[in-house]
Amino acid sequence: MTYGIEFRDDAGNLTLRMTEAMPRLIHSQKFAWNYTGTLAVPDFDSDHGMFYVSPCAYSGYFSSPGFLERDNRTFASALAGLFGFNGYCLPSLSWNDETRVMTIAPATFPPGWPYEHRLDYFLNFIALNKRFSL
Amino acid sequence: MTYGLEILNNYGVPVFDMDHPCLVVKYSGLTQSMARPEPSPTGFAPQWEFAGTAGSYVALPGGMAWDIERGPSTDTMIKPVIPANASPQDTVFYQLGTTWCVYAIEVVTSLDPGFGIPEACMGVTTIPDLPFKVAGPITDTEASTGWGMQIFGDAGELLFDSNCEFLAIRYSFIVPQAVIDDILANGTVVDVALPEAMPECWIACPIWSHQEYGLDRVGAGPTYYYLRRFVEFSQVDASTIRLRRRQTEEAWSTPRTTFAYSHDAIFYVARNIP
Repeated sequence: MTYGIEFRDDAGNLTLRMTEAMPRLIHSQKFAWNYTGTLAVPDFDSDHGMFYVSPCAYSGYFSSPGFLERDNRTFASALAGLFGFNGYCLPSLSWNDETRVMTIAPATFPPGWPYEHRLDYFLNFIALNKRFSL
Repeated sequence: MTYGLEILNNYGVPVFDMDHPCLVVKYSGLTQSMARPEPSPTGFAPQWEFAGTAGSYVALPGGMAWDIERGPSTDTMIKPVIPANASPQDTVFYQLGTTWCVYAIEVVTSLDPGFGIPEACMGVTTIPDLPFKVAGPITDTEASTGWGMQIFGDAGELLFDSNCEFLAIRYSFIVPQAVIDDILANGTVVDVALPEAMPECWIACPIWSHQEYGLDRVGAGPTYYYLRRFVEFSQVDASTIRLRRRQTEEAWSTPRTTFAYSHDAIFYVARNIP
C-alpha cells in the first residue's frame, strides 16, 4: 500500500485493505406477505450492493392467542415448527437502478406447488465492495 | 457530506459512511449435526428446548421434523443458530471448501408475542462440522473500549469499531432463475468465476432452497417413486464456485404431485482472513 488506510487484527492479519469496502446495512424493512407497492432506497447502489429476502417464520400462526394450550404444544415443538411447513414462495421484486425504487408484489404459486404458504419477510439492502454478473 | 469521515477505496467506493452500520461477525463456530428423525404420527416431536435467555437455545436429540418432507433424504440436519445478539438483518456465511451445499436457508424467527425471543435470523444448513460465521449490523453491544477507531452516526449510534471481527465481503452475484432452471432440467454444470482468487472463501446464500423439481416416476401403488432434483454448489478451486444438479429418487406410500419451483439465487462471497 502506498497510501490509504489498512486495518489489521491483533494477529497481524489484514482485515481491511484499500481495494475493499466495509459491508454495511443500507436499509431493512419488514413487509406483510401480501404487500404490493414500491420502496425507495436512495442510498442503495446496485453496482456495490445486493438485497435479499429473509422470510419470517409463521408469526401469525405461532403467536396467535391460545396457541400453546390449543394444540398442546410446547415452546420446543413450536420452534421446531418454524420449519414445519416451509414450502413457501418468495415475493416478486424488481429493482430500478435509475430511480432506485423497488417494486414489490406478493408471491405467486407455481403450477402443482403443494404448499400454500406466503410469509411476511424482511427485505435487506447491503452495501459491499462489488457486485458482478454471470 | 458536511462533516465526518469519508474514505474512498482505490475504486472510489466509500469504505465507510456516516449513516449505515458496518456488518460485524457476531457469532461463529462449527455447524452441529442432529440425528435425522423418523416421521412421527403427530408431525412434530419436541426437539428443542429453551434455556431461558436468547441465544441459549439448544437442540435435543432427534433433529428437526421439518426436513422429513423437504430436503434430500441423505443429508444430516444441522442445529440452527440464534446468537444472543442476533437481528433480522444477519446473514450466515459458510466456509464450504469443496463440500457441496444443497440446502442453506435463513429465516427470521417471529414467535413473539408469547415466547419471549426477539425477531432474529436463524440459519440452517445440512452439512455437519462446517465453519460458519454470522455477520450482522454492528450495535452498541459490540462496542469496545481502549484503543482503536470507532465511527458514530448522527444519533450517537455505533457504525464501526475497529476492534470487531469483520468479514471481508468482496463480491456478490445473482444466479438468474433461467440458469437455475437449466441446471434442474438439463443437468448443466455452471462455473462462476470469481474476479480474484479467494481460497477458502466464506459464502452466504441466504435463500438456497426450493430450487427443485419433482416428478412422479411410477404412478401405481403401493410404492410411488418420486424423482427430486436440487441445485447444489461448492467452491471447487480458489477462483470458482460451481453449481450442479443433484438428483434423488424417493419412495412414498402415496402419490405426489409433479411440481417445480425456482428463483434467482443471491450469493455473497467474503475472502478468508486467516
